[in-house]
Amino acid sequence: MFKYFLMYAIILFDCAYSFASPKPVNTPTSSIPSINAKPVSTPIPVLNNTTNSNPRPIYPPDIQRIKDRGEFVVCQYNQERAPFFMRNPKGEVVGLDVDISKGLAKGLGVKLRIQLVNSFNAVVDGVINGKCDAGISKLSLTGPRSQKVLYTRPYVMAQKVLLINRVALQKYQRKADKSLEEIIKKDRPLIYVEANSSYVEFAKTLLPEARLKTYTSWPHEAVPNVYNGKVFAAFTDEFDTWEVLQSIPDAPLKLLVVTLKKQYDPLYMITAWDNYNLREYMQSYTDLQSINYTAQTAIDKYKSDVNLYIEQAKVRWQSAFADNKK
Amino acid sequence: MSILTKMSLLDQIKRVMQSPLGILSGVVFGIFTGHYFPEFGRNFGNIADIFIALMKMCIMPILLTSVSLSLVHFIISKSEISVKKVAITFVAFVFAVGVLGVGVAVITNPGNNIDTTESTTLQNAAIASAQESKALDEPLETRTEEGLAQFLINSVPSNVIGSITEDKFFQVLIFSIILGIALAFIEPQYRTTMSNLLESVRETFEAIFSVITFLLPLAIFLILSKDVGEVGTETFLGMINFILSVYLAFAIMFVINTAMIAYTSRISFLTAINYLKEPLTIAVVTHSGIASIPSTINSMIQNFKLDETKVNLLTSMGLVIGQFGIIMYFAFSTVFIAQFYGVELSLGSYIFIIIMSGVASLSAIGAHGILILPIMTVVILDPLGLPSAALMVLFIAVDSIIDPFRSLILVQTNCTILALSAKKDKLVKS
Repeated sequence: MFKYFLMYAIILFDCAYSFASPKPVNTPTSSIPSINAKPVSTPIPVLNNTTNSNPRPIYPPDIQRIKDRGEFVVCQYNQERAPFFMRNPKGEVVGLDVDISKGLAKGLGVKLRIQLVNSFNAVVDGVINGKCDAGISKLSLTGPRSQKVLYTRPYVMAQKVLLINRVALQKYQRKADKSLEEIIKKDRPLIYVEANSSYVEFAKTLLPEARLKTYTSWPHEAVPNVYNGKVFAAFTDEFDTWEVLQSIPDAPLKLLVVTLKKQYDPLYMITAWDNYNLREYMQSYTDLQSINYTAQTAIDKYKSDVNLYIEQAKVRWQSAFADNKK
Repeated sequence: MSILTKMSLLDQIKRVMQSPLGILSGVVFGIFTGHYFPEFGRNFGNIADIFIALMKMCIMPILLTSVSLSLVHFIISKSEISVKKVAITFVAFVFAVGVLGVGVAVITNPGNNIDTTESTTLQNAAIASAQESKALDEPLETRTEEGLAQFLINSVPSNVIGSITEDKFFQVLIFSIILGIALAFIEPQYRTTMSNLLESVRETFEAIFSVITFLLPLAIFLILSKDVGEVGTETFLGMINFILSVYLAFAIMFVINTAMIAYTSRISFLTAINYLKEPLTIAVVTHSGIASIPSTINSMIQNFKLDETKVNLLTSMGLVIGQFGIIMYFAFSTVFIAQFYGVELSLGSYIFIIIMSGVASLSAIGAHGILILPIMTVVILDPLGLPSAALMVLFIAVDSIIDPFRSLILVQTNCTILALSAKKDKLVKS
């Protein structure tokens, strides 16, 4: 009996002891600095070091160069691309890219000069060899280009599309409903891509098995040949095909525009690889102005200009088709 | 006041209401009201739906009873039905309307003169239909395989009540034929009860139908005041060549039919139209040939004095199976599409179009309005390699003014076949 009492007593004592003096939790004491510890003294940058004999210039060299010149030079493709750069009835070039260029020049406090070049790749080349400060010309991103120039964030999020001849498509679809991938793999029809454009690169990655053919003129070569069924399809962006559907009367009935799901073609501005600050400036401009469109919202934004453009385009397309017939 | 004078008064009103003048005034006032007071049509036009619903209510019972009863009658009386003659006439007409449809399209060449930009609505619809969003590995078009084989398999009803409630006229027709034949071969004492029952059903619904037709001018007025108010003429401008050419094809068929009916029945051209004014009007306003079955039967028996049993059987079957308006439309539209896309058609292709239009029309039984268009795509256009998706948008946009005349040609051509094939039999019978 006493033995049990003794056991209880020991257990009770033991419990009481452990309550009274809990074992210390294993806390690191040395590694974390205490809140009350003195701050490490780091050198505070001198914001306005007037005593320095060689004062830092206000503007970085790439911006200063433009200010000194009094001119902001932008390279742009010489063919019209609604709603980016198009001629209004007065002969002035208007559009989204023109407005952005103007806004950038105004912000810099200099005049704007637009340097027209012959192809999209020529815009990139112009930026590289210093012909212009920036390329604002409905430009897409490609691997080879991104190695040579600085890109801003995209300001328009367009999509890649195929403009297809309906009769040709029906020929391939006669027996079964095929996907575009199957048609491209098995029937191997000709597909147009614009020479010296980003779409040559896109086609190589997205449609590796396609039989590609390059064109130099969208209105005089690509569209008439797809329309007549000589070439199955053209691989391009939403804006080109949108113009075709709007300006050629029976295009919506003879052609089909397939927007490729999740295949985006974001559009960017570019500048030379050492123009970091100019790139930052261009980027902040689009951020501050909330310039962030899709194909449709960009078209809607320039609706009145675009409508005038389409009216002229209708006439141009007619003559382009007539030329092609000859 | 006896019930007799009441009836005669009713008869007099009925005569006025069913006179050409009554129907014509319904048409004229309907178009006038619809055009100048579209609000009226929008508010009161729906009352006409009651009329159409009442009419449709009578169709199924009349179709079922008239086919089965007349079959019983034929088999029992062992009367000579020249199946061969009826069939040959029928097939000849299938070819004739097909050839006419193709011919008018070839001569007028509407496919080369389509300018949808005339109509902003139409052009916008076309642009919208020309844009699709697809992944590269996604099939471009998803179509339903509703070919002729599938149609034939589906033509035997597994549940006849289901077929009746779902307006599957061809299935009901098949059931009625089976019922009629079976009824003819069972013991007379069992047959009589069933025949009498069917007879009563038919008589009752015909009585209901005749009361409804009594209100025909009023219904025409209401339907047209609504339809004309809703129609946007702007839409049709873009397809004006197509519409006019189809109308020309229908008009030629209308004249041919009327002339043949007039010649075989030895009546004047205008009388031939007048005799059929009621079924033809019903076909136009309800956009349905089947809806005019009772009225057609009535006209053929009352006006043309044709054999009752024969008329009952052939009209019901003809109006379900013989979709001549659709055959003509299919043949015409296919050539139109080929013209539009610049696809050269060989002689073989033309023959294919004519035959397949007939075949496709069988698949289109029970479908009406724009629902017949997918059948044309599967049966005729796909095998010819003609793209259809884009033009379907345009066909749908203008179908509201084509459909009534398809039904008109359907009913009238069947009446012609009836007049031709029942003519000699009438003499044999007498």
